[in-house]
Amino acid sequence: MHIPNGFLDPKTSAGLLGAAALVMGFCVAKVKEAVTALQPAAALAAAGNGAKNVIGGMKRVLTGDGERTIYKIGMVASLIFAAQMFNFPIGGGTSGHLIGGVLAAVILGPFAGAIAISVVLLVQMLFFGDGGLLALGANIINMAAIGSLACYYLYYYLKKIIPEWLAIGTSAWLSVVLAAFACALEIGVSGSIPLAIIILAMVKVHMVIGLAEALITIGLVNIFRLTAKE
Amino acid sequence: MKKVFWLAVVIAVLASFFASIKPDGLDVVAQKLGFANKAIKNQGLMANIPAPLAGVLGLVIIIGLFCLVAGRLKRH
Repeated sequence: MHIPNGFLDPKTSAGLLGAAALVMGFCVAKVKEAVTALQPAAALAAAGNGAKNVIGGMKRVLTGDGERTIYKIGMVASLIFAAQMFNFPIGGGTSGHLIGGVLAAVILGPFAGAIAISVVLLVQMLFFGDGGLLALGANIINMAAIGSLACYYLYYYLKKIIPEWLAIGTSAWLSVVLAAFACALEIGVSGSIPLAIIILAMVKVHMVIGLAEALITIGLVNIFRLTAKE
Repeated sequence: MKKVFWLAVVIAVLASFFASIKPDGLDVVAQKLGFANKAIKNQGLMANIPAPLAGVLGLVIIIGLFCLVAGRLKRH
């Protein structure tokens, strides 16, 4: 679902780039807060770190757990990058591939999950030409913000009322369908295709691809939990 | 965590051989509805590297990025 350059008009592209920057900035702030701890500057100065502000100043320091978390986010991002390389045919001359938004969010939480997906999208765009630079904002909103961050909350509340594997599968399926809907909306308002037509077409094909996403996500969450136990 | 990395490497290498070249959902819709010709595709920096190697390089880049971030945060 990576939108290439040329599908979006300048206004849509710019607006979504801005929105993506805001959302991801927020996610980065949230994760930074989670992986660091405040330490009084005086204590730091005593430890030899040369704090600049001694009067009641606080500095943010990376904690041991925080560092491990950052590596964990990197690991999950690389797992998703690898998994996204698998294209599977779904019939009708179409193939699908994993997005991994809910996978990332279930393992890492909503904010780190969105970051993981965004990093994957960035690397894919820069190094593999997958998705255009102008469409990066749209792709991040669709697959990281909607596909990971928003759908995490779907998973979170669903698992209170249904078994977790079902909550994972359902939110994974929905993440693909909702991302496809947003994608269609963005392309539709950018050009000459009637909204109803493109939305219908995108949602239809992605309801099928979403089934694969659901199954793969459930499987990979379990594999990850088993692998990461050691 | 190291096991997850190697799992990712295995998946990446396998995937580069099994990747179906059929168009994905968006491509198919674009072709069907007639706006596929609007796409301006760029090849990316890894265009001329064989797929399995490119896949592993992508993994290395991603992990390298996060190691850099952790390193910078530690220094503060």
